[in-house]
Parts: sequence; C-alpha cells; structure tokens
Amino acid sequence: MLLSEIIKIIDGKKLWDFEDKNCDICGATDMVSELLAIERDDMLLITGLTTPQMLKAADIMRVGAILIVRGKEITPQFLEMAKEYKIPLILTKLVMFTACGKLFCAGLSDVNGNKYGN
Amino acid sequence: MEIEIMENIDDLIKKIQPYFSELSVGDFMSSPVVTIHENQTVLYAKELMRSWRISGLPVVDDEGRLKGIISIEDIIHALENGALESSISEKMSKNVVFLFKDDKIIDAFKKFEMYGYGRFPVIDEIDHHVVGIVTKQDLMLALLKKLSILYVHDARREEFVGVDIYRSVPKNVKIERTEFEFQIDYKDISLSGTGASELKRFLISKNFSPKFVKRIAIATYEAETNVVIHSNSTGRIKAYIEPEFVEVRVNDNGKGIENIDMAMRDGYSTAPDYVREYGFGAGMGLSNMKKCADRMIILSSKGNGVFVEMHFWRHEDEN
Repeated sequence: MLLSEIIKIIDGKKLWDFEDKNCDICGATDMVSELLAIERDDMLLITGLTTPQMLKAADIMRVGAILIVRGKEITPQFLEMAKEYKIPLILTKLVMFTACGKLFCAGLSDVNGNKYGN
Repeated sequence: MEIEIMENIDDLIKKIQPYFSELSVGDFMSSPVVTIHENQTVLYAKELMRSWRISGLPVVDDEGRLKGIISIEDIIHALENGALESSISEKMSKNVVFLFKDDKIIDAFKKFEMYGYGRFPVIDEIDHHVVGIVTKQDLMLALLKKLSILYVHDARREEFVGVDIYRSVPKNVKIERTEFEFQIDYKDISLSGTGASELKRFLISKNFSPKFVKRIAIATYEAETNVVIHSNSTGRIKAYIEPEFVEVRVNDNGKGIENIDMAMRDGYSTAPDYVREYGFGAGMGLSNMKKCADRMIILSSKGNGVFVEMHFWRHEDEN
C-alpha cells in the first residue's frame, strides 16, 4: 500500500516532503530493542517514541517509514535526521491502538505475515 | 593441533593469572575422581580408562591414600611386555607429583609448567586421601568461569569451549589495525546509537551489502546502548574488516556484568527506570546481539568492565 493511501486511512500528515512509496508490513513498538529484533526491511514503524535513538535504530533496521502516533511533536533535529536518513515521517493524532487497528483492517500485515481475514 | 592449543592455553593462563590468584585447587578440580586400587591388574586399569575415556588414574591403597599414578603410557609399556596381568603397583609411576586441595591456582599452573604432565591428583592436606584430579582443561574452565567468559554460537565447538575464545584473547593484545574507531559518550543517552550508525555508514562505504551491514549495525547498536545505560563509564567501539569478515569490539571500563547467565535471558534487565522512557531496558540486548553475530564473546566480571567481541562472516545471501 502506498504511503499516500496510508496517510488517508489514519488521517495523517507528511512531516517532510518525501517521495511516495509502498509499505505493506507494519510493526508497532515503543521499545528500541524490540525494533532491533525485527528482521524485516522496509516496514512501516508505528511508534510513539520520538527519540533520536529510535530514529537511529530505524535507520539501522532499514525501516521504510515511520508513523508517529498520539500527535506527538518532534524536535527539529529529529526531522533533520529523518531527512538525512531519507526516512519518511507521518504524524497522526490517533492513538497507537486505533492507528494499528485501522491499518490492519485496511489489509496491511504484521511482520510475521498475519493479515486481516486470515 | 592439540599441542598448538595447549601452548595457547599456557599463554593465556600466564597473561591472566594475577586475576585469579585467590582461586584454590579445590575450587576447580574434577571431583569425585576415578581411582584404582594398587592391587588391581593393569588390564583392569586399561578397562577403567577405556570406559571412562580418561588417560590416567591415581592409584590408592585401602585407605584411599595416594600411592602412585598410572597412565596410558604405562599401560602401553605393559602391553609391549605382555604384562597386562601384573599388579598396578609394579607398573605405576611411584614418584607422583600431586597438588593439595588448598594449593592456589598458581601452584597448579607452576606444576603444569614444570613437569609437563597432563594431570595432577589432588589430595587432602590432613588425611592424604585422593579427593580430585586437575587437568589442563579443568584449569582452563576455571579461568573461563571466573572471567564469566561467555561463548555462544557455533555449537559444534561447545565441547571445546575454550579453544576459540582462547585464540581470540591474545589476539586482542596484538591486533593494531583498527579500521573504525568510535568513542562512546556515556553521559548523553540521546547520543546512544551514534557509533552504530557511523559504523553502518562506514561499512556501506566499504561496499559491504546492506543486509550484512544491518546485522552488524544492530548488534553494535545493542552493545553501544549497553555501555551507555549500564557501564557509567567511557567505552569504545572498534571494527576490523576483511572482505568476508567483520569483527566488532565494544568495551567499557564500568562496573561489569555480575551474572552473565541471567543477563543473557530474554526480558531480564537491570536497566534503571529512566532509560525506559527512551525505549530501552526491554532486556533483549544481549540475546539480540547473539542472534545477529556469528560468534560472540563476552568477558566481564564485577568491577572490571565489559569486553564484547563479535564476529560476522558474510553469509551467502548477503552479497
């Protein structure tokens, strides 16, 4: 699913002018170590944690894009770093649960390939 | 091959001896020990050695006191002379060199060096009963245990747990070609991960594949975070590269890991609460490092910092 479609589903906004791209797998966590234990590349990371460490971990993990939940504000440094790492950033006011639920129902799968309907 | 390993062991033991000066023989000897009565036959000794897969037996009298030692060589001699039915007391070595249970590890080490025997019986100071036996392997395992050396991956080598660690320890002293070096700033948690991030870029610039680099960067990130969260000291990341291989070393000068077995468990964390706000402290760091690295060695003890060495070989699908 394209990031632009994802943005519509969770009523989000782009935090910088990144190129649209596909993301079909989601992972949601606020723990850096948990993120680091996920093997998939190019996933959409759903998180409420906007620390520089999370961003560095996301870069190392080759995360496809980050969806920040709960309308959490990010620092200018965070934004600059994301641009430098070329990681798309999306912000939604939804809480983690709802953002995940909506995307799951829209057909995105988890890191183990589990999807709505099967 | 075995001789080479043994030489390495001597080397290692020498280097780290002072560290273990308080260990006594009784702490690391193999006990109980298989012994043989002096009135038994050589044939019986041979069978005993075969079934226990050992190459030497302390010989004892009725009271369990040490009378001698019989080794494979003695048995071979007896075989050559057709003397398998003779009694042990005729064929054993009588001038046996032994250790006391309360001897220090350094005494054991000196005896190995001085006599070149493979094993020494251990006797009790008071009643002179044989209470154990010490081989080089016992000595080495005692050192490893004391250092909390942890060796994971490459299960085929588990039996010889010391060998590879061993090889890699003296190497630490010798290698001088550091290709990547990063000083870890433990005072600022927000900088955690910077070293791993830089290492990632460095490796990509050396044309390693992203998949291979990812594995290395994850493990390094975890190790770096551990230094920042746990050590309360400065640390350093070093990496050495070869076309098919990357070695990463992360060390600090902090308080060390007290219980490495516990620390290896998923979900076990000693991280202070405040770091959880930063998304750390899930207790998955070490096990994640183990998962990513092809080989990982941790050297640590309380108060002596942590030294982590991780080896990564480029896998076939990591071109």
